[in-house]
Amino acid sequence: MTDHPTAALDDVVHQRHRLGILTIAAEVKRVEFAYLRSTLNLTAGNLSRHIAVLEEAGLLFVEKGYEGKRPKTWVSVTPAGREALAAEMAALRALLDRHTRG
Amino acid sequence: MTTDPGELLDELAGLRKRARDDRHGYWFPLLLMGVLSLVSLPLSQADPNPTDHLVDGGRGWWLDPLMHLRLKTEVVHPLALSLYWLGALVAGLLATVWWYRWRARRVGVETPTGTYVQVALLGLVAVLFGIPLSTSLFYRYSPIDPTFPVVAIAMAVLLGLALLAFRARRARLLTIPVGLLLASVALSLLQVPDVGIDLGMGGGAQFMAIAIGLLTLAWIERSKLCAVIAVVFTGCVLIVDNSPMKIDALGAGQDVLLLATVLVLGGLGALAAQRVSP
Repeated sequence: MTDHPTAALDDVVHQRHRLGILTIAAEVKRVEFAYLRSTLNLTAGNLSRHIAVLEEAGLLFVEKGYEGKRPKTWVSVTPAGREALAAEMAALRALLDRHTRG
Repeated sequence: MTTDPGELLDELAGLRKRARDDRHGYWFPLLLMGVLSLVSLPLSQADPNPTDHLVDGGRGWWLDPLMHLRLKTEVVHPLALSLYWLGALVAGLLATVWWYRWRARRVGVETPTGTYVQVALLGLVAVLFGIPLSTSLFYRYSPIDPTFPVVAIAMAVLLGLALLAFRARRARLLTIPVGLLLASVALSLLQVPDVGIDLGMGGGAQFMAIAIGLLTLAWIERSKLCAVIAVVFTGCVLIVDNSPMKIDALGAGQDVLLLATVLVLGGLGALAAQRVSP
């Protein structure tokens, strides 16, 4: 008997906003904090917490720096993050397939 | 928060599309290369008393890369035109990388340009050295005259191997040059007598280098519009390189005007498309 697709869902990644962060970061070389905040419609504190969780899990790489006098935070996805995102998308598609067939 | 996997996948696809649209900036390199092509026109005056400036296929002709940066039509100042194009290609590459970084600071999403730089530089080397050398070796040392079916099979094998090399995840510093070498040899097969397609080795290699750069840009931008413009431009380069038609009124400008127009209109069209996209 095969596992139910939900068994493939990763608790760290399977959160709507974290999936959104990973999806955007995987599409570009790097993404700026303010872009993520406005695109995902999150508060700065909320976004920081999600990024910290993903960084701790080794799925994101965070660069902090300055542009002139303004602090800037850039986020990029790691190879592990790319794999985790691909696995999560595959699990979601499998779940959708099962739901559609059932 | 949605818990439905279908809605979640749709939402993620929307985010991916938005990030992709926001990072697109290919109108600038299109317009830049179009303007640089138009600026070359004063140096592209046809020589009223043409001698034999161009590639004659003699021994060692592939050792003079600047020769390929001229035009099919012989011009009055061939060396100045070649040096102009060498500078324009390098300046265009550097300006494109600068543009994407500048744009990333403004928009908040950065397009990865590493692959573009590698392929553009190696593509320039392939166009200036690889394809001419490979063609020269075929002419001189091939034991058989490759016929069209032989060329088709050999090209498919070589391009397949090149693709594998480009897609290798390890040792990319080695696999990318190997892939490019294989692609150069494959492309040079198009120039054997039975096929007879000129890739710009008879003058105009700068436009083939630009075409390689644009096709790479379309790939890293994941843009259908950029891909269409790059394919149209590549098609026009092949037409200009292989058309026997001469329009005396245009002089050497006939080798430049169509291609510059495609680049400028493509750049303006891409800019307009970006402005109207929601």
